[in-house]
Amino acid sequence: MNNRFTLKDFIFLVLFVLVIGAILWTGAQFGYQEKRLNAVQTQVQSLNDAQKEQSVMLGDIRTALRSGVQVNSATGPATAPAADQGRIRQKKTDGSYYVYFPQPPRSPRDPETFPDFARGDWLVRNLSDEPKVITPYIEKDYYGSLVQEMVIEGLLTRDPETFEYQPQLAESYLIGADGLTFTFKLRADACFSDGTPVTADDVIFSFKTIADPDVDDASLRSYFSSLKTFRKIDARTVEFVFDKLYFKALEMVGSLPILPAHVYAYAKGDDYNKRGDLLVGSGAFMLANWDRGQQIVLVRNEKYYGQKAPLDKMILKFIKNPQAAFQAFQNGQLDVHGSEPDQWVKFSHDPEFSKHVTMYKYIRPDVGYAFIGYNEAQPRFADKRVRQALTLLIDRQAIIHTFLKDLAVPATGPFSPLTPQNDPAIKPWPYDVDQAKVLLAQAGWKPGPDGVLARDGQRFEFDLTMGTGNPLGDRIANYVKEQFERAGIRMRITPYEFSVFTERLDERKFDTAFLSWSGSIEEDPYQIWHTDGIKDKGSNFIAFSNPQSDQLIEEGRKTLDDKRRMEIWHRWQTLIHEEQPYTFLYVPMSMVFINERFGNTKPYSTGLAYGDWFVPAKLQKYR
Amino acid sequence: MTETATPEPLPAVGEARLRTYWAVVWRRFNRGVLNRVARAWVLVLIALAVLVPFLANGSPYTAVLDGQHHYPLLRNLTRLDWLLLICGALVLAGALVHRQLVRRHAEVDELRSAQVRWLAAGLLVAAASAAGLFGFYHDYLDTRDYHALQRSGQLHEAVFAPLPWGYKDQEPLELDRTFAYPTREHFLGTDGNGRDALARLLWSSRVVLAIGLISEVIALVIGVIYGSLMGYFVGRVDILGMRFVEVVEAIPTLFLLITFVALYGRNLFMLMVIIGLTSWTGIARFVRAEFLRIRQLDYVAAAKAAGLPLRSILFRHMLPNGLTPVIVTFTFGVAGAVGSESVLSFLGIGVEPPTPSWGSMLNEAGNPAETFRWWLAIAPGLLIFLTVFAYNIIGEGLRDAIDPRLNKME
Amino acid sequence: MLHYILRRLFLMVPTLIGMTLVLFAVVRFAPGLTTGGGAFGAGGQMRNQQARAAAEQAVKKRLHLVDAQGHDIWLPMQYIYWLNDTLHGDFGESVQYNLPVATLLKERIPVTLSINLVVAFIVYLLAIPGGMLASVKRGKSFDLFWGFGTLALFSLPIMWVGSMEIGFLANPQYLDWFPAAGIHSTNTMWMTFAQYVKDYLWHIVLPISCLSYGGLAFISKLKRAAMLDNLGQDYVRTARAKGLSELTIVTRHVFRNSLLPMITIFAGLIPGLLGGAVVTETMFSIKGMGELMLTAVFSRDLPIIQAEAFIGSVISLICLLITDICYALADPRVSYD
Repeated sequence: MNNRFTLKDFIFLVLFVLVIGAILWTGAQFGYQEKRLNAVQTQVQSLNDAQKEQSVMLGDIRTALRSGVQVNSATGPATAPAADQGRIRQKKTDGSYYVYFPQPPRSPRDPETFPDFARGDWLVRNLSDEPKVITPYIEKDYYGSLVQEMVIEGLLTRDPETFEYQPQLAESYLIGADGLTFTFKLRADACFSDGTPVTADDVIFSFKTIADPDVDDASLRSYFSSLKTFRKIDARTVEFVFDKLYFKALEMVGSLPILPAHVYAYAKGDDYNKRGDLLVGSGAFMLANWDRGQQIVLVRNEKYYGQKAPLDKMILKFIKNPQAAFQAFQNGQLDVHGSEPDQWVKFSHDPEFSKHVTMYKYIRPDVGYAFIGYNEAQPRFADKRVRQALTLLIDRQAIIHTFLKDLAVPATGPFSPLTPQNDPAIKPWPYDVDQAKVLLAQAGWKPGPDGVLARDGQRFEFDLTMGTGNPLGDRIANYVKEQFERAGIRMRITPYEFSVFTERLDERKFDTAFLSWSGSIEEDPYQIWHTDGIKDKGSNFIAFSNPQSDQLIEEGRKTLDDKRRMEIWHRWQTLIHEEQPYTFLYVPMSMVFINERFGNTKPYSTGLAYGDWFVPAKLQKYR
Repeated sequence: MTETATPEPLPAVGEARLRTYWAVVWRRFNRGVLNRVARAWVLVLIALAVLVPFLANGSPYTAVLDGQHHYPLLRNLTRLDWLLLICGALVLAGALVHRQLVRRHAEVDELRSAQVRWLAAGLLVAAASAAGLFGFYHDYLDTRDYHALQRSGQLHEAVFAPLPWGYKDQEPLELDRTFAYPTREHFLGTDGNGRDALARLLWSSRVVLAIGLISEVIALVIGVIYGSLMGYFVGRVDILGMRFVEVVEAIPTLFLLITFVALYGRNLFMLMVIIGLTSWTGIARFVRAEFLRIRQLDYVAAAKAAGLPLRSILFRHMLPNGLTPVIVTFTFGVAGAVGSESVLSFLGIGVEPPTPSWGSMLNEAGNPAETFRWWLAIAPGLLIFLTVFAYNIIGEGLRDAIDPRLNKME
Repeated sequence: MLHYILRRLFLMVPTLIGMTLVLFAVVRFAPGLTTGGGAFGAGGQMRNQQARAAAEQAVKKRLHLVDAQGHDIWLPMQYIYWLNDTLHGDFGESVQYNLPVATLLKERIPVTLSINLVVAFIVYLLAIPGGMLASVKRGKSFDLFWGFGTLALFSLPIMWVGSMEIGFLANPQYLDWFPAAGIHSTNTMWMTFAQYVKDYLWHIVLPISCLSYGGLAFISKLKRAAMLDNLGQDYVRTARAKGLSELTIVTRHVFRNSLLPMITIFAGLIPGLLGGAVVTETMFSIKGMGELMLTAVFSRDLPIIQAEAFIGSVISLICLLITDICYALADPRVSYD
């Protein structure tokens, strides 16, 4: 018979299985060898770097000995050179403003002043997801910028406690009396991680790259639309001219990362876009390697011109699953874990856990806020009383207590509660169902025969559009739906995938929307709240248009004097609070668990500063 | 070979009972214990789906508020609740009618035409009530929170349903009874919004049954028509048709489902249509194979020679005989549809909130992004398992009942 | 025979074109296509309108949705551009990752393939003996329990099993026997090869257990049916009459003859091997083909979707052809249609 399975076939089958097995084995070996090779390479690299550092140290010691320097006693803390020696911040007689820092700024809590300070050890962190691109300017997502933040620098930096601007790569800057001209002078000793000095050419190159329309950085480019010219004055000086007064001008030119022209030079814009893993800068750390799918390794920049970081290495892992990440933290494989609310609730009071873990709960100034936006192109939401009533129906305090486990603070406007831009005198609307019903009745909405509010024959029914994949958001939406039904309003929850969701927002195809904006240290309300932001798929998708608000925004943008500008923002926030174009829900807090061996980890106002962390010598784990 | 079953008793005169093919199959099916258990489970689910508003509801049957008598539960029944009650009643009536018909008609042909007439009447009544309900009646929105009223003492002589929670009744947020462990008040605990988990489980039966049946019916209709046409008109029609079937089969189902959901939103009805559209190919293949076999037989040639219209040949003559493998595939398809729905809900693209479904409850309990809440995860998963298992048993049982030789040695 | 194969190969081409065209059209019509992941920039902020419009145009140009001047290209022409690129081996570049799709596939296919091959191996290892035993002892308690058991396993919803496993077996609060996610630990750089393999095996125990129980019912049923088919044949009766023991008959003759359907079924399973188990990969955070497809669909990453669809279609068509050839070889009664 034809379908006999003979011995020959059996041998073929076994061979087949063996072949498959051999392929798998070679594949595994290959993958393994590749990892080993990478490991060896990084080890060799770090050995080289250590050797270099040692030779530099020897040279320093030799020079110090030759010039007859006293060796400090072992006891007593080493005092860092007074950082504010020689600093100038003054408004000159001709109206211009001059800032000069002879030394690069040091951290407010200098790690070197700690008695048990030591250099060394590694920090293993988790980025919840692998970034797609880490090349500056074209990073696609938040994780890319997380990797970059320790490797690249701009001309200025913010003081971690006061948010004031400080010259970083620049040694000084001068704002002209007209408020449109900014002149930066670079530090003489500023250099990139390969030792090349940072020159005006690099600055010019960076700004030219941003402006290049073929480079894939459209969003970044749009911020610089009012930058008219920039030119090199001399090898260390660059001048920027804006075409109109803008309070963020200094931030814009100061915060753009400066890239080494000799590394990033490109022929066509597209060439720039193709390099997704090129990250070289002047920061305290430098990129050692990127093991795709596993981790990114940053090592200390030994040539850093500023305050050198205590840690030798930072390893960024990509563990997406928060449970797995927490497991890794508990096993010691991760040193830091950004905790989920329920993990925090469960473990922050656990005595066993707290013995070996440092815990912090803090607000990041750029965390933004969650809100429900009402589409004012629809007449029912154009009435301020309706929006106020809807806000009154939502017990935001209970949401924070029950869903967020008190790990958030109420939001009264779009500004971060940490910054002076937010007016602390404004208190959130209360939770008052009866008052809400009164307001709705005043606006003409009366209960119909089937219990739903109606006005002129139209029922009060609408959709709440939101994104999918957010269990917390789903719960809040379900709660809000129930609350609205208490007042006779029917709301349907329509979740959409993110890309569809943003499309619907763009095309204004929604009734109400539930999402979050992320924030910044000082927000420019123009994009989201000004009438100009309504057309052309702008960010003002709720079509909020108020002439008083527009005027305040325009005035604020032009005011360079900080104190006056904050007053304007406070006045604007009071107006928004009255109008309730959004129901501002909450500002989430960040919680972090840190392995106990790290010192000086307390977050500043700007958040965690990994460059200040150190591990005392006898607690160091990795070499 | 001869069957070793006990010889069946001779029929009484006038009973068409024994003579129909399906009656024989049904009786064989019912002889298996497991089959009976599975059948009972499905019936329980159906009964649950129809009666759940009376079993688990946050509004009391009667209550006295401000001195007045209210009947909140009846008043708050939605159009869907009424429609299901009517359909349930029709099905019960249909079962009784069927028994009468079987007793009265001796000839199978008579029985068949009577059955068709009564079925048509029943469908007409159902359609009319659906039209009437959805056209003229509006669901009443009750703004009262009866539990809060009871807590504050304003509610008197309230008679609640056996489980005094509906699928969307939330505990007040200030009390923070979300994700609560099982207590006497909430037998299976509460979910993330403070809603009773047991109530939501019971209400999910509707979604489960609807998705299973409706999506498979759609798949059945498409598959049967397509397969019969292919099987009847062999040649180029068949070749092209099979290519198209292969194309549809090769498209990864999940991907198609996700894309359709993105295109048309998370409407429950759309979901059912989409699952149906992706699962008709198996049925089409079976129907085609049967038709290829049958078209050679004599009675088909006779029908063609008699000049009967195509429609009649296909559906009155060939199809009833070719349906046997289809029924089994249908049953397995229902099981698969229930599974698909739970997978989609688990991935977050299934039914929209607050509609409960076992898959979305699993998602909430076992979401990899949050802590694992085992007491919420056990029940929905178990119920999905039992339901899918029941359907699979029924499918296997039907297959064995149709062709018992498959199970035995020659 | 050759004629038959050639004809089938020839028929594959329109099918392939049909498959890819359908997928192409479906995805192009899905809303939210080009904004994809580009709407939210670094820092999670919704970018302003000009930024998004510019980003959209750039992406569209790259995907040949619009030509260099910004005018929309006709859909069939888009398809032809894509087909042209693919046949030249250029799968394009992912919109999300800025990496060539080929690189991503190269990273992910081995992961999925290895897991699925192990699963297939385990399933066959368990199902074939089980099916054999069930057929030999048909009607007795083993057969009944085996049938019941495999059907029960088949009905278990995979998410339930997965979340139960993660929740109980991978949870430090209960039993912490296995890891909850991924296929490698975070410190594989410092492992020896033996440890590396052991770590890999430790990680894949849970995903494999999720994937293997489902196939048991199907394969063992097939095997049982094939065995029963053979056990009813004349040659078995002859062998019995010759005096051979039941054991010899079953293991030496019937087993081999009923193995052919298993092999042909395996050819049909191969497309599934590559498609990956999306749910399992998502739950265990395994970076495989299934997870790639899922995230690609959610962020409308066209090049990945199309590449995966193309590869999947080609492979499934080839496997269908192999299956048909095997059947034709095995059974001379099958006419060449």
